[in-house]
Amino acid sequence: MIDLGRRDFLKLIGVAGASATFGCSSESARTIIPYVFPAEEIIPGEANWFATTCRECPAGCGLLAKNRDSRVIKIEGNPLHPVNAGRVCPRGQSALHGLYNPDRWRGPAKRSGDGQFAAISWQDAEKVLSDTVQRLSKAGKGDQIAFMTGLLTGTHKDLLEYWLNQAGASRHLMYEALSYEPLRAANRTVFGRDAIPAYRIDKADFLVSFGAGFLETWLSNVHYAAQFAKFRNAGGDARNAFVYIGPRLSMTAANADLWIPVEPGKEYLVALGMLRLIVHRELCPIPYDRLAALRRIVEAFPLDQVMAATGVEPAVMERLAARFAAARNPLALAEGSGCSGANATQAAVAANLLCSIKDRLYETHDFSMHAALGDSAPAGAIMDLTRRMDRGEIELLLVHEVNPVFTLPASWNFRRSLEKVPMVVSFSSCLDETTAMAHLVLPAHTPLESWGDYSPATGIVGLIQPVMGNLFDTRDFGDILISSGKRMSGQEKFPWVNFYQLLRENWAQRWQAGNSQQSFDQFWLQALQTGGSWDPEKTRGSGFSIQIPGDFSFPPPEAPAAQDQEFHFTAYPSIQFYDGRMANRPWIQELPDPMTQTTWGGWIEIHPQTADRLKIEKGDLLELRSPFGALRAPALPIYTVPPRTLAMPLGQGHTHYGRYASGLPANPMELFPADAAPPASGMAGRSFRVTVKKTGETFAIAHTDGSFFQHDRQIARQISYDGLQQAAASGHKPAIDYPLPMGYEADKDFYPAHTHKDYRWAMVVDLDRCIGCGACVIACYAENNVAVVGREQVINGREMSWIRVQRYFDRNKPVARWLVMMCQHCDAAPCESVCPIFAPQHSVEGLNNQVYNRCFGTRFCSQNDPYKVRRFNWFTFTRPYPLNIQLNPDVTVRQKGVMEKCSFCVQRIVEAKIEARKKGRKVMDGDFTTACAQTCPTDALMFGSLLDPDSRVSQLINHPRAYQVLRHLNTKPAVIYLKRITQEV
Amino acid sequence: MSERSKTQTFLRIRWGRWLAASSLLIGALLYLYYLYPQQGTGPRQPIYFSHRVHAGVKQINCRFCHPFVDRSRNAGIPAVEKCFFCHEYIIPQHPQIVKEREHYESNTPVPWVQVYYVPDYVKFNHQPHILWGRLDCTNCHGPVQNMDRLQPVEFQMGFCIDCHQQKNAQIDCWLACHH
Repeated sequence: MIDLGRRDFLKLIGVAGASATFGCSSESARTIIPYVFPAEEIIPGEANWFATTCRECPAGCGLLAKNRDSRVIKIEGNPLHPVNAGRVCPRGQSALHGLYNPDRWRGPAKRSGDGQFAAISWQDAEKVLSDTVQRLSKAGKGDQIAFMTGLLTGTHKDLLEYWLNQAGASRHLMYEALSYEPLRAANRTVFGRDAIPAYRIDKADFLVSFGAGFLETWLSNVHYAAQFAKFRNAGGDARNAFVYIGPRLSMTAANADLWIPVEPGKEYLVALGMLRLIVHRELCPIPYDRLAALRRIVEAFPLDQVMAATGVEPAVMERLAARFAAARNPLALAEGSGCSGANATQAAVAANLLCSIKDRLYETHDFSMHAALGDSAPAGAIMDLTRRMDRGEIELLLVHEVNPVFTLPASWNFRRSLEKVPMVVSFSSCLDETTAMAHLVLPAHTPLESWGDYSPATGIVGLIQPVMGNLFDTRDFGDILISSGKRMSGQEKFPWVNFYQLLRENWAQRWQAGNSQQSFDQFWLQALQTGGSWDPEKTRGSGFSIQIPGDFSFPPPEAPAAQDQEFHFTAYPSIQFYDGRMANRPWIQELPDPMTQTTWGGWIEIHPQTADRLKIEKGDLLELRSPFGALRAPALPIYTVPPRTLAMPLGQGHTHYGRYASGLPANPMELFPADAAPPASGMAGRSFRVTVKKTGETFAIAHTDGSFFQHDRQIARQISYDGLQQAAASGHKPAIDYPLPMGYEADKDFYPAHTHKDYRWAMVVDLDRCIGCGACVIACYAENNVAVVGREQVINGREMSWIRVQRYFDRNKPVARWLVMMCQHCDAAPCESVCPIFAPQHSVEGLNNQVYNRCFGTRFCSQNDPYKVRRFNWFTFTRPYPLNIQLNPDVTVRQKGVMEKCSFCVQRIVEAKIEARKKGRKVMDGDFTTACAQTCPTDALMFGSLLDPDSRVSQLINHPRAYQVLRHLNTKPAVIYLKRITQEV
Repeated sequence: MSERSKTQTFLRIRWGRWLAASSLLIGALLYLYYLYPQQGTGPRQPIYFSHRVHAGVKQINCRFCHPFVDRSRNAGIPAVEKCFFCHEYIIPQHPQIVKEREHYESNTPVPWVQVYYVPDYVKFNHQPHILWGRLDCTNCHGPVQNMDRLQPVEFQMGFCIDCHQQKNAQIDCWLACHH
């Protein structure tokens, strides 16, 4: 009790009264800001959608950005775009966190002597840049200028090379850490094409992947995920089979019918073993022109040696070979990325050789479309640049949105070489490890604020347009080049007012070439609205010659070494982090890894048996040492790796990449060797081993899974393909408790049935289509203002995600599967019956409402919720500016003490009903969908009304694969799952 | 005086003082809340715009300035430019119009003080109220044609629910307002 005297009390009251009178009079603190001049076509409160192109990775998906009151609040796929057809992956969804990242540069900066950055004006910054370039070009030192960018095409690339040309320079390196150079090398070797084609997984009927993570990061993951879904559900009697051969049970591997673990770098041996079986046993007719050459190649690989070296059982190898040979259009893919393991080129060549046994491989390898990734700089060129920098032969290095200091193997000593460059200029929008070493920073807009174009593959040109005004004092990359070019070589060499004008001029040429009937303005407007220019009816499948190489040498099979102390090591790009550029996005950090369910920080995957043997426990900080470097990261015992292999994700371990990425363990690039010798010209070609040491310290792993297993609870179910055929033939009806009045049974129901008005919203989750990617999770975070809680709170089990993709391993075999779990909107919801104040209640359209303003946080509902989908706000989670701008104004931002959960995107339901009513009708199936279902690359989620007998959900609810999770509790969930289909290969 | 009555007097005085102090306080608060000048007038705006003159005397249709009321969640607030559709010619020298012109010419929006609002957890949308509720603006906003400075309306939940029930409109928590 405060000891307050009477006089003090009265004084206090006086002050309080006065402040009540003058401080907070009736004047509200809220203001409404009008336009001075109204913007055309903008209706306040209504969203505008702008088409643009995703530049988060080289795949170049088409995007639609939802702009509400001049702020972009959501990213969705562009349904017209040929690459992604309306879907985006978690990385694309999180482009918003690149735009709204609080660690972006606010304006140009210059590094002073003490290593700190100080703000300078654009004028001064451009002057320093153009003076340096002018000085070098006048002195004839143009070859001492180098420009490193990410993969560029079209107008940006042309302008940049013109700019360099004007400076008397030509060294432009488009650096991609995942450049898939081994794929190109292999295609050159076997198919005579130095390019990466468009693979057609959907045209294949048997698929073998030699480490290719085509559902995660490989080339164009959304595109291939959609193709994979088609491949799986090709129709007809048979179900197409997919086999994954690689060192780790990756997300892609877990989607295979069979995962064959091999040591990293030995994938090619399995391919050659299959090839040998096919050739020697003549399992299928092989085109005559190739037969002899193939025979010669497999000569050196006797089956017994191959099997001894890889550990693959003879019966498995024989089955694989037989299936491959018997298929009409078999397809073998290789990862082609050196960081995953050695012999990437060999694996890619071997995969191509396997494909070459068939005549019709032009159906699955479309060389009429080249992936732009094929134009990225070869590792040799990067190595050459590093050496030149080290020798002091580079005076000026310019970097734009690339981070070689982080993504190159530490043993390349890129950092040391960079220190020897007298002038480093960065155009990156965020501080990163490379930019931290720059002398001058001229921050460019993020792609969502920029103009440009990007062509991910031949014949597809996506247009990039600003989807909102710029946030900070940054400039369009093209504009920086033009205005510095004007300073450098005069107005007449750079006659364009801005980059936009140049872009339009370039597109005018495209328009002229197209001979179209439209005027240019119409053409331009159409390109802006559709997101670019492409021809869907383009003829595909040009033929190409196959030359089996006589001189390509595969390393001979070697038996596995029997040392106990050393481990094989593989580092893999993950769907969240790609090459590490995504690590500063809080959504991406918070998204549980598909396989390990881990957030916030890297880990070392180690087989539980091995961990037991070495007395390593989860979270023990290990020191990994290779001949080339060392790192420290926490151990995660998990079944994704064989006992003698360790695995780590790429992309963590940043030191200068903003508040969300920095300081988390660890960057596996510390361990890789420095060789880039052709033909293994992918990075880190040599195989190596690592040793493990416990440091005695711990770093807790922030994982969201409770267990590896289902403990016989039958949560994520599966059915064999044969079993399904039988069930379908016998007219089997699934046991479903309908979340409808017809589901009421007097003898077992305590509560009366609910009647629904007009709609009964429900969802169907096809577990056979779900690939575990987590795009739905990020889409939900973006749509529903779900809070990011950070590592500490995830460790406390307080993550807020409304939808999660649960991973379960099988007890007996190395198989994993996922279950997408969100609020089940039960008809007899256990949460509703325990709330003392009816904060959760059943709506007339079947939704389980959670009324935030009524909730006072008893958490009874969460306690009684068997699905554990309710999330409690332990704190008022805030978002640092400008992340708060992303918040969806249609959804309440929840605060401390309030329970929340999936709403089936009720704001979209409300909006769809208004739109339908304006047209004088009810909402029809397909009018709208939820954020998660909208972005799902494989269409695993379907949303609709059960009162509409023709809706997709009504059709699927009686499918032989349908089931409800924890049905025995009689909750009558409105989320119906379709069992995953398994088959033996 | 006995010891006992002394104590009683003391207590009376003490309680009397407390009573006086608290009634003074309550009186002051009531005064400040209900009687303090201009309590019923609504917030002062940066430009002294009068709805009475525009909507009342001049009979300008609400939708001339708030055109999106049947097309969007927000009715819309007029762009600065719109004032000069008329005030280019009508009393252009009035000090308030001169002030408005400064905003117009310096391209700075007028920071209007928001008068009508609902809490963040209420997702109000004008559209259905106009399109299907067939409500007049004054039903909720009050007789703005009689007000110089707009008086706020306290939109308590009962205000909404009564009408929703009468008109047989959506009364489900989430589907109506609270999502």
